[in-house]
Amino acid sequence: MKFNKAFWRDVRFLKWAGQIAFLLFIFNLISNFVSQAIENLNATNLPFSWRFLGTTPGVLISEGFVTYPESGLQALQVGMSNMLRIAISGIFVATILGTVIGVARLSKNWVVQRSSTGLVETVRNIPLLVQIFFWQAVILSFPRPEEYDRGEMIFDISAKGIAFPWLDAQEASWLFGIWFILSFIAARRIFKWRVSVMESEGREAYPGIASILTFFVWNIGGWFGGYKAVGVIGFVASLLSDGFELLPRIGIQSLIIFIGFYYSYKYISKEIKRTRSAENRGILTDDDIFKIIMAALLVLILAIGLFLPFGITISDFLVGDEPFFKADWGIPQFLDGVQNRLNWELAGEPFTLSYPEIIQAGQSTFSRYSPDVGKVMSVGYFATWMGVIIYTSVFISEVVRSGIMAVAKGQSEAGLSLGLKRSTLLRLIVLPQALRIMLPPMGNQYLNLAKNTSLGIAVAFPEIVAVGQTIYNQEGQTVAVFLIWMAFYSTVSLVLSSIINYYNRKMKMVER
Amino acid sequence: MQDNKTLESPPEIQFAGVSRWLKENLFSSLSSSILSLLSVAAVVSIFRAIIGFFISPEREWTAVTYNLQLYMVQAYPESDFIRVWITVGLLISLLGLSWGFNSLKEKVVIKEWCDGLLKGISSFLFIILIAPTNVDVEGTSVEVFKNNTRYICLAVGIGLIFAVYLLRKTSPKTEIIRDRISFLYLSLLVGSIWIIKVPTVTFTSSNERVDPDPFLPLANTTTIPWTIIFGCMIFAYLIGTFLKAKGKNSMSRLILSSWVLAPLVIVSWIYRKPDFGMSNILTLDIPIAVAFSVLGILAIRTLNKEKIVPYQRYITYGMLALTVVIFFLPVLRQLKILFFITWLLVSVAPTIANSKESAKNLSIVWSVTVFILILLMRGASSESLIVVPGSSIYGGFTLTWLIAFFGIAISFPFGVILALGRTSKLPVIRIMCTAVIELVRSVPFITWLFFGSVMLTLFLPKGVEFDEVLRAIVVTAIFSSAYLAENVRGGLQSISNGQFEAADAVGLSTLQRITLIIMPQALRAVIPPIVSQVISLFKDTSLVAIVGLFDLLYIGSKVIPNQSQGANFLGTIQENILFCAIFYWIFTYSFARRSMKIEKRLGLGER
Repeated sequence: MKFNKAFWRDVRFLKWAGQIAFLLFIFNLISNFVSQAIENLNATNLPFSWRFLGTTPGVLISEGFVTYPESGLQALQVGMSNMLRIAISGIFVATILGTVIGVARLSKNWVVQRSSTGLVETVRNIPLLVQIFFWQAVILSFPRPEEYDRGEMIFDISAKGIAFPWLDAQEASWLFGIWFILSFIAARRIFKWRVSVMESEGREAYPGIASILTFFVWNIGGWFGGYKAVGVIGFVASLLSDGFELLPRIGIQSLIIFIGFYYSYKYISKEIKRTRSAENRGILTDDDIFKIIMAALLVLILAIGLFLPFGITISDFLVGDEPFFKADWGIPQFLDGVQNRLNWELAGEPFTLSYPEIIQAGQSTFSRYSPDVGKVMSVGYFATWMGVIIYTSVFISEVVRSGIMAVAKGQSEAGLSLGLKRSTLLRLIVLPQALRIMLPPMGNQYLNLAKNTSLGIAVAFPEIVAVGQTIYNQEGQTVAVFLIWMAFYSTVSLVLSSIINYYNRKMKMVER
Repeated sequence: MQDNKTLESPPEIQFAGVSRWLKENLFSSLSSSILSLLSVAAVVSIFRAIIGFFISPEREWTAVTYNLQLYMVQAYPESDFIRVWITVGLLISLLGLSWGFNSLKEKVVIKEWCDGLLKGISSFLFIILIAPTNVDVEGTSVEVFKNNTRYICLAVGIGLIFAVYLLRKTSPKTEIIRDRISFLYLSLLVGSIWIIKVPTVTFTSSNERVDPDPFLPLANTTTIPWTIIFGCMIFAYLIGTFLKAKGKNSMSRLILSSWVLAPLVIVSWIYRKPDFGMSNILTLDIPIAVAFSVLGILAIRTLNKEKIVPYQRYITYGMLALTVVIFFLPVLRQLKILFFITWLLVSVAPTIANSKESAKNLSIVWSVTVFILILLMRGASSESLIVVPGSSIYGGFTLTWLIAFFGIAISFPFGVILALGRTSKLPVIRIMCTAVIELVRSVPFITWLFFGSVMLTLFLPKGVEFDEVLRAIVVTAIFSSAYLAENVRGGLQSISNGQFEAADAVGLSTLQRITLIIMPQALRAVIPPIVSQVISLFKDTSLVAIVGLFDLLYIGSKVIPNQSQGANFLGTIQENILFCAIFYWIFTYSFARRSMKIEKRLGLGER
């Protein structure tokens, strides 16, 4: 760099010096906080550790795939799965409900329009937590199961929750599950093929009927043994598992480093290539230099770190015997699981239907629903689920409404003048354009929904925050639990927003 | 938007008769008719069920009315209630003052007003009409709404409709000022506290509950304070209109600063009842204040002398260094803050006080600020004489307001700084700000509240203790500023590059460019999302109930349903939750409506 003046008065120097000073200041601040925290934790005889993930917490989790978790890790996993149960089902239901309310608000029918507006104005101005308490109060106002005899039941509501019939998984359920997912792909393929036939040959090719037919034939065939074809995946997994055991530990580390180097090389070359355009004239801005340095630095840290104890930890992590706590996961364990579940020697009906039952709770006079048969929606689950769905769907309805209203009126008028039916008009002209506007705010609402499930803690629903709180009350590892919360929610947000971004890119208008 | 007003207003839609309206809006086609009938049936049955629920004898609404005091101020000692009333009165009088000052004197045609009234009365009639006569109480049907009462209500309603209709017919074009209508409604509200009687829980001398509950005016201890406060509000409103009429536009700044000052005064002096000690003020605070105001005035005078001008920059740096040094020295906290604001003064004085008159103004502002600041700090740092067993002196609705207000107020500057940092061209600062914003946003609010209540003390040196409520406010502010930053960033992105370039071309410094050119436009563009962010933050304050602070919702969901001493309100969760819901709803809904009107007036979001 050539300086015209004294270098300490040059703006380029000052900029970087200021930033580095700022960085140092921040690092100093953080390290102060961290060392203070370590000191305080040591003073309380509970130094920071991850050990609680491996030990048995001795807590009861009221619902989830395990009631008495063997390890802290498993307890947290139960919390995560409970949270995801509400979030995923909530997203689907809230989207449908929100669309219905949004369309109702645009209805020409006065009563429908007014009542849906009233609903929206009521729900969105009441805090979600109040609503969750409200739904809890609603379900608790039903009589308790022991208050009167219900006889044989199919569907039942009581102060203990909502019980309904459920499909119980059998041996071959995983095989059939994969088969079922594949059926959607097959149906979609058939649909596209019929549409292309229709477009190229100009004759009616019944894409809808064909795809629905495929779906049913595929699944009925699968139910009676066709699912065994999925066993191929299990076979491949067993081959991979054998291959993985041959790979030495150093090989894994080298592989990670190789991948790291490859991607950072690709990133840097892309950045440099970008600056070689006519607009940028090959000039690297501060930003570009910073990015390149960071990319190179990160991969170097990775490469060095992988051959230090930290690196051994990573590879231990991958092969499933992490030293801090005994993990039951890792690549070989995962492959084994796949191999066992997707084995084509498994047979029989993949699912059986079971009905709920009321049993006595221990030695007491109280009754509860049997956890083994049927399915029970517990009070906490119901309250959280209802609250989150109704609350989010109202916000989604606003998104839908504004999305539809934002489509220019000329578009629907043009469609009508072409002689399209109202339903076709909505499906082919209005909705695709509205969807483009709706997607980003919709994604925000999904993220809000996922975060709002954390309010389940108020009604004793054991999602990740509630379980985390139980665990840190037992073990005192607040910092570790908080880091896990942060990592979990960030992952969920990242996954959700990348799905939304994918669709957003796909739907984006191709500019001329 | 502005031009449209001078143009012809769109033709008024003529009401074309009931049958035509019905045909167009309800029975336009077969499917629409079926939908109408079904939804009318659904709406009527839902309303019947809700009304039946509310008036059923099973409901113990006395649980709410008996505990209104608990809901509002929790366990604030009754002997000091005058402080609560002063707080409320101060805020409401200020509201009246700025209302009067900023009132547009909007006029409403009687016809429009009557139309609104008719709508309201007819929905009241609708509710009376469909209210169920009998409700099921444990299998037996009990009469709760006598038909005679229904007829009387219907007759009154129809009479009202007739009266309003007459008014509408006789003088449809007369205009009245909208504010007067609002005052009419408010005085009706205040009057109703005197008149309306509800069943009230009362005890005999032997501490037994009188059965059945006698009818007494609702909250009969509050009638006189509310009436006085209402009077104060009208008085303040009149003062506001008077000042406006006199054209004292400089008053707007004074009103704004009193809005900033009032909450601080309330928190440090009025609500807390500080044990300040007069000798402290006389021997310590006043000398310090005098010294600093003299120092500041001297600084303002000298900094603009021609000889000093070249060294201004070095004086500022020196002052900054001094401030940092003082910050780490073991001196009074007051001094640290005063040195900090002196540094601020030194750095802005050369630009602001460049003429004789503005130097004089700045000197006055400076002295007043120093005195007020030092008195506020004295109040805030003294021990509070109010003792609330087991919790903070803030509780109930007061706590909800406190967290919402200070959370938002503190988050505002931080949000703007974070947004500027995120859009900065300096990579380190940008990445830091982005990381903070995304980190805060990725995790739900409740986990941050846990962070505040359990972990915050871990990161602080021993002996530094935070009040529970203060921690909640800090966490709320952090959380809110991240969201605010995203909103402000949206505004910053909406500003065209031309604005930046123009500012550079005029030769403005970075600070001037941001404060004078960019921020005013950016903030104006994002008022609607910021308002909805504020509303959602107000709703989110209810989450502090989960970490065990005694806010409105905690009292409603945990405290009252477990009350068994005195009156027995065990298990009255439904009533209390519904009360909380209605209470929150009234505030958020009216706030949302009000802000929508202001947005419309400013013409935001329509460009």
